[in-house]
Amino acid sequence: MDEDQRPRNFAEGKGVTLNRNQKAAARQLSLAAYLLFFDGRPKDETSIQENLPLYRDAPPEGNEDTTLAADALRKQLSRDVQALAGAGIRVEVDGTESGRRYRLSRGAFSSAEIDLTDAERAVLVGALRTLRRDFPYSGPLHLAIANLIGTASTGVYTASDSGADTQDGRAFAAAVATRDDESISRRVSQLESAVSRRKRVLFDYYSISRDETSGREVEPYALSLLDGIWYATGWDVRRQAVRQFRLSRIRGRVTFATRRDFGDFEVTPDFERHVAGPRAPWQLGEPVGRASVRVFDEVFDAVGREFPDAFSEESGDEKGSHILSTAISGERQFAAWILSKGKGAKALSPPSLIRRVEEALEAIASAHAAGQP
Amino acid sequence: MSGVRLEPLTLEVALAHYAAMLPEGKTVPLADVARDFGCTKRDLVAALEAVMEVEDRDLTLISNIAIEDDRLVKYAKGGYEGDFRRPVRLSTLQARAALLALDLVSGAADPGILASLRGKIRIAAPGEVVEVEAGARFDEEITAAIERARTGKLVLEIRYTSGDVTSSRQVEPLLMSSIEGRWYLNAYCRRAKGQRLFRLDRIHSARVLGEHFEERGDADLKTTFEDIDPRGYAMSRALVRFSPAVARWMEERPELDLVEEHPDGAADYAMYYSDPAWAARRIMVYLGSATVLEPEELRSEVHRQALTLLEAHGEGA
Repeated sequence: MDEDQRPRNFAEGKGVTLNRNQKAAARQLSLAAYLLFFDGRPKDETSIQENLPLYRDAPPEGNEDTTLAADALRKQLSRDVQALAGAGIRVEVDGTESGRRYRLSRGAFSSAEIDLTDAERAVLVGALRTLRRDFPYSGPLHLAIANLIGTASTGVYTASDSGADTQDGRAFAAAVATRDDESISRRVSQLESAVSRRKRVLFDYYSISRDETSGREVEPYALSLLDGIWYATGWDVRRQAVRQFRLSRIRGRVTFATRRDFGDFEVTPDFERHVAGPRAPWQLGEPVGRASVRVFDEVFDAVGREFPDAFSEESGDEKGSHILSTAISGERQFAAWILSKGKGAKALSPPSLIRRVEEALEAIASAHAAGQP
Repeated sequence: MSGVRLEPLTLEVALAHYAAMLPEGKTVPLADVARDFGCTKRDLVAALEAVMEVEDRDLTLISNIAIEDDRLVKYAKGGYEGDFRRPVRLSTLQARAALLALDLVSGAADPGILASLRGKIRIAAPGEVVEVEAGARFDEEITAAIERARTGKLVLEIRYTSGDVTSSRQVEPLLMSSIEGRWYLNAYCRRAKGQRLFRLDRIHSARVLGEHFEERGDADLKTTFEDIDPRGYAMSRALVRFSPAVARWMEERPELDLVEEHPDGAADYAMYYSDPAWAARRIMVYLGSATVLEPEELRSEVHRQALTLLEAHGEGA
């Protein structure tokens, strides 16, 4: 295409007027492109400003003080380096007395060649299609796939529409249905941002066990999606303890507690990530003791799959059964689990657990006896 | 629906890569680009304008793309420095999104492919990725066998527990569906001579047989809560009173219908069921805080099961 055939908005002087965010993005992209060209060789602030027009208006307008101008440029570069890092591009910065130097190697920009097989592509694109309707992470997932597969280079979406993802008979097909509403999706978005940026948040929370709503100030460590339900796990500032919050029990909006962009807190070093994962309902709080249960063969496999980390086996293959022990924080919840297994499980210890199960069975039998109201 | 917001600059970087890879002369409707990048057309145009504004050291615009007549136009070859032809590393958020997506479809995918993909995603991310916990735990041999049988149209033999009975069945797998976070196998059951839904966590083993099957017409796939809502197929309806101690938890149970709230905090709910033994176990987990008011058939079953278990517990350890 000849230069004079270029589209009109590219003719000199007819470019669009960019807003502040667009200017920042253009400037950051130009910095990445410039540093990439030198593939890891450091460039100082003066070189960047001289070569990249979008950095030339960094100093405040009318400011003749070169020290202040240099300081403004450095701050702008610092913000841009942080923005690039957020987008996955790690610019290295060396501090020297005469100024900072910046470098970006091709390896830091792009990962080692990621070569996805047809089957892997089919699963990845299939996941996007399966989840796209109401998956809160749909936007980042689109970009992840574009970056992993290369939308333009492979035409992955249009190609797969015509059956390209069925190569090797590996077509991915599944249906995932959730019923999250708009308010849950908004809370996921806000809490994702809070987890990523380590921002403290405020919200009103309905405690179903206490049947009351109270204000919470929380440092969120992790999000979880367990059995289709969203949770946030983090440090409850007022209660001075790690707590898990079900997002559907948050009332109203989630707001940030401070105006800082980043880093209201550090994740406590002893935070164990499994606390945010699936846990047996009798292990949701601090352990208060251990209990043992006889589990018969007919349900043993299912128990192992249901809560693989909850039990340790004391002995097996006795009377067609296994004796399992578990830490408990809620004896009532463990008694309920035992009864959910019918004849497949039987309480062995402590005595209070056995009593609780027997008293419950007596109460149930009594309430359902003929002639009872 | 509002979702997780993109990190600043990530859309522009992905578009810069896209621009670098487009062949000269290619034009694409903006709507198609927006669809592929999962953004609105307005956000796309804003990001493209920033991408187009980037100049190189000679004050030359380097993207070689333009917006014309609602289309994206690559008007000259090249575009950006050659390095933008390489895809950027994933941002932490993108990696987290991809890993969560894989977890959410893991009940329907070959575990080996998933493990390989997860490894590649982590390699493509700039550092450690804090994952969203999804709690997806399946027997990998079973999910792999189902996937192999489904894609190869091979008959699958499963050991499955329904109610108190575990038995073997030969099934023709059609589709895996996840409803409310629980995975199901949609399959034609040769023993029942009809399409059935099998809960993945109740399949004890799965073996691919050598026999191929032909897809049957009129597949009725269950993929949404409405498809499995017991109100739609249950043979019986019970009225259950929950004591004030547990009644408020029932508000979070979509399968129950509130019938009446009482001044003391107790509440009556309608529960739908087909198997009285299953329904009785559901009642018993409330340890006496739930009482069946009607029908008498279910009251009797709860009473019978409670006495049976009392007897069993009285037999010593």
